[in-house]
Amino acid sequence: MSGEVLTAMMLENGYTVNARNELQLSDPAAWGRMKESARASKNKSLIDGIDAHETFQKNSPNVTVDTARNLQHKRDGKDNKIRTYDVSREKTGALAATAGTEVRNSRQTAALATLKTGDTARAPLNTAAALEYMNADGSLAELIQNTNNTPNAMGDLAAAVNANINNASAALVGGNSSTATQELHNVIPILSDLNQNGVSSAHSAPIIEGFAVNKGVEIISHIDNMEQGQKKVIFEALPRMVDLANEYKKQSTRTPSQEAVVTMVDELVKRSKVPGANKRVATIVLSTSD
Amino acid sequence: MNKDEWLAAFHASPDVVQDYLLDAASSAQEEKAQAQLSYDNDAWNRVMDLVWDLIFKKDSRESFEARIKSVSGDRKPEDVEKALLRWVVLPLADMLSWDVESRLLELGVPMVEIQSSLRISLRPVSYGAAVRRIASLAKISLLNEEIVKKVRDVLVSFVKGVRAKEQVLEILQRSQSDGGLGFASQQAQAFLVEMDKFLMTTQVLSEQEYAEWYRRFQQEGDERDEESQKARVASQVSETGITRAGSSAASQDPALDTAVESALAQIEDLELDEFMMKRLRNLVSTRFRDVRNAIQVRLMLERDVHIGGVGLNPEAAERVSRVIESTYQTQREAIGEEQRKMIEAVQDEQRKKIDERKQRESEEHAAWYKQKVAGANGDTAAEQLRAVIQGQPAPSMQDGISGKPTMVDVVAPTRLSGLADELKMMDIATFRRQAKAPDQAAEKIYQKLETLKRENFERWTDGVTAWRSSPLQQQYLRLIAESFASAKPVAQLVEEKRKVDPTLPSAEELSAIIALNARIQF
Repeated sequence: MSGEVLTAMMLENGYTVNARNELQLSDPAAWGRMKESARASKNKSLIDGIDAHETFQKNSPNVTVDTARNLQHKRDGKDNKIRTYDVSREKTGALAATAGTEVRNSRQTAALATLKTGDTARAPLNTAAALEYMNADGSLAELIQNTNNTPNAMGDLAAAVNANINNASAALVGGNSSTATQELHNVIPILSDLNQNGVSSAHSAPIIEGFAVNKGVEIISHIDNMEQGQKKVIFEALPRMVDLANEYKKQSTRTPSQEAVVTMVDELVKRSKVPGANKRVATIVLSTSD
Repeated sequence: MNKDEWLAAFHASPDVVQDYLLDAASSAQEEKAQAQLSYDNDAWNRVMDLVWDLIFKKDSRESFEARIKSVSGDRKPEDVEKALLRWVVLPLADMLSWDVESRLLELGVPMVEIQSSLRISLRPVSYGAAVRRIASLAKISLLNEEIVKKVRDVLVSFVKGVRAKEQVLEILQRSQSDGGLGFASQQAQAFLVEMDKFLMTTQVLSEQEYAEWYRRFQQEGDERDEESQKARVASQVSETGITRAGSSAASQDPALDTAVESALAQIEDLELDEFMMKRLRNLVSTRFRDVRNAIQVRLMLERDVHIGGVGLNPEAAERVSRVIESTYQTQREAIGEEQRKMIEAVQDEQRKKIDERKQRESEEHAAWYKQKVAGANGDTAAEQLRAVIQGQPAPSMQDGISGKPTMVDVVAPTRLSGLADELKMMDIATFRRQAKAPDQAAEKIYQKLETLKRENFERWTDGVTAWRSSPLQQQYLRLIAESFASAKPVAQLVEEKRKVDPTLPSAEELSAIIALNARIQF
């Protein structure tokens, strides 16, 4: 998706160029209408392109209009994330996204730099930087690559969101879904990437275990009360949780956190059989022939 | 369907379907069906497998009905089918190629119940259907046809830009005795929200346009069915070895047959009975025709025989899969070429048939026309008729005797215009031609709109839109804007301007237009 077209679209619909030659949103209503009409057109690549360009711009507010025009966004089949390339930096002169140099948004760049500085001894993980990277639309598979590919780092990352998971489940049980949405803000970017190719079960296990230990079962059981986007992420992470529980069930001994995953899935099976339970959760957890 | 297959199908479905399936509303619908049938979870999972196959794998209606009979247990298959279609399938009926509503009617579900059901729209809908669906999404009961018609008119006026959102809200809340719908404020707000969402995701057509779209859709569906039927027959022929009678006793796909035989020979004996051999042959054939990919074939080889698989153990499946893939690599090009030729031959034959039919029809039409014209008054009558069509005076006997050529002016063809066109072209000169007094002229315009209203509501909204885009109305709006800008009363402004341009509307004419506009508000 061409940055030139997307930048022109932004400038036509609510964005202006400020004194520092950066894109600046000056008419949110016009931009909102533009996005609505793009969604109504059902043109998926346009919708993705607009989202990617806007996200990049938000995360890199200092990007100049010329740089924005030179960007190309391309979906990477490896992890299904959209990556951004700067075609002006490519070496061959051909305007192809794949020939350009991949660029990260400013928040991702800053977070990764902090992560690497604070993580030279490989332990412990700079969780604040890792969370900032994930929240800036970063990819979990890439984060793993940048943390020396160790599952320990994922354990640190999971520990960093334990409190959020606990608070979110308590909020959902108490019927306070807006608090739950806020609490899950840090958790969702991590769970949404569990199905990426570069995330092995060894890497996802600490995250799922952390989720199970911190009453994740309540979050899944109250999925109907969750915000639509978050609901989808939790639902799509569920098969990985069921697979992991099945794996642990085959083991003769289990650690407490492994036991928590098994207990969580067993509890979900039990609750899925009760009238009023979400039928899609039942479809996944009661599926026998996988 | 196991969870991985289900998830793959879920991801491949449109976003609105995914959202619905994750929504509590979908769970509630399934709950109703399960409760109605009093099934326990295991039995329910078994019947839901059929539903997923129907929705995601496009299982045919016949197969769905047949499979229901096998899983319904002590329940009547019709009852199971009715509950599944009514509560689980109907909301997603747009995912199927056959008409679920008709089947539900056959099963005895009342039309009102069907129409008020929750539906996820993937296809265009008519205004009437849109109203029912929006009302059902907003949880509003439309009690009778009269109310449905009124809400439909409101929707049409909004879609056509005659009413703004605030006006729609107002008329929804206005009491019925004052011509409104009498919705409570909360209901009206909910209707508006759902209407917005619905119009954002669904194409809404007039009933006539929808009928035309549906006719085309069915035609395309029939063609698709015909093609798949042909493909099925062809595959059955190649897989089961049933040969065609007569001169074409040999298969039409020799390359495919050879490849399948070669693969089966390499696979060697798997100790399968005749039925399972046929299944294996079918599977190999589907792989060679690119109907299934390598992973799907591998899954089918391992899948239990009771659910359509070959039931091989992983080692045997791996070995067979490897043989199939190696044969596929070497033979696929020849098979593809052969299939391409077959398709071209069928297409050629179809083209030839269409040309022949067109030729025959045009000859028949020419013969009919000749007979009709000649039969009336000989060739002279035809010439006279042609001359009249071209705008010449009918040739007199004198013309015929003198033989002088007649010069005829070139005139533009007369364009017929309807009332809406007339309103669209209304300028001050036309307005003045309507009647002597401005009030009477305005009344005539109002009568034209009333005539359109008697025809139907859509025609009326078209008429109002046309009037609003007319040069006269635009001129009036410009004058009003100018009056605001210059802070002068319209009458004073017009009088001043008319000194320069007497063709401008007078103050009386403007007041007649203002009164007319007030009358055509909703």
